[in-house]
Amino acid sequence: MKRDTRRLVLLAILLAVSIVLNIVERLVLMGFTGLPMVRLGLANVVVLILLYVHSPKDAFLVLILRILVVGFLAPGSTIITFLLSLSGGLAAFLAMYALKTTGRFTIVSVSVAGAFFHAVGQILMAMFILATEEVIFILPIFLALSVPTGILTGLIAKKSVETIKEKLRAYSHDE
Amino acid sequence: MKRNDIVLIAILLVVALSALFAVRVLQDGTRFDDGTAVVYHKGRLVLSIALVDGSEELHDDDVFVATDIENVNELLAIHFDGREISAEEAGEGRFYIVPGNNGPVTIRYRDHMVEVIDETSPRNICQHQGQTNSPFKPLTCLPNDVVIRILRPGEESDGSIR
Repeated sequence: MKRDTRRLVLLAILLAVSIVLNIVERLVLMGFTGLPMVRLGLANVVVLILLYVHSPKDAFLVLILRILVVGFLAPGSTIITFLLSLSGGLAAFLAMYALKTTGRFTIVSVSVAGAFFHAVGQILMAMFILATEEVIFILPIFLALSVPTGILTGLIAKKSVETIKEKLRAYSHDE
Repeated sequence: MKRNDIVLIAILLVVALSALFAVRVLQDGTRFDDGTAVVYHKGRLVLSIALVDGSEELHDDDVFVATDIENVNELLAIHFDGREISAEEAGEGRFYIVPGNNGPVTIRYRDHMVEVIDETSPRNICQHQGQTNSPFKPLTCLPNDVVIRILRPGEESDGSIR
């Protein structure tokens, strides 16, 4: 397969996976934890994989496409939930990209920083939408939750990146 | 994990837990049994509730008041397509139904505090925020664009926050 075609196929598959993860996570975790406000951010695993396996450009592209598709298709989505996803996603991406570029951190702490700044981005957008600065007082609970959820998604991303790199190596070797 | 990872995660955790602790202290230290809960929908004041006794001032024709859960369900049936709240979920208190973007937002007043007991949103964050009578603990139902702020005694409410 040509390099461009292979890239497109991989991006399409990972975009589909991230959309499904995002929607399934909403439905499954509600029943599982009994706390719907707790969300792992499994779709971020895909962004991390692309940051480490492909390029920041591809990671950013899949992130934006996922937010757009979920914003239009997911049940209960509104312009407000779309703006919150967008602000959280952009803040998380910038934090992860900046940390990865330094080369000093592994994927797990990059994931934690992503989850942390995702919460910051969302609350800043909420303050803007609601024109209520007191919304900031909700932020600490989300920051505290972002650390364990970021570690978990980081560990999943780490294992996924190792597996994908191994498979890609084997595929290139076979070709 | 590298040492840098542990340091970064520790810093983020300390920041989060310190902020959590500070906000808890702030909220616990500023409770007003005689304050006012003001409810905004789309930035416009729709309801004021005096926390001293639960008496209300309606600023919108689509806001309803109920004294028990049967009354709440009757109002929801008439005005909001038959949605129902169970008596267990609702508990005792005085209830207020406010229109939200995704449907009705039901608020309960009890023991000088207000709480959102039912609303429609993907994460139900405001329902999980619990009761409040602190200006530092507003209840925010984001997808419904409903905000409940607590005013100190004597503090005037804004008719609009946008």
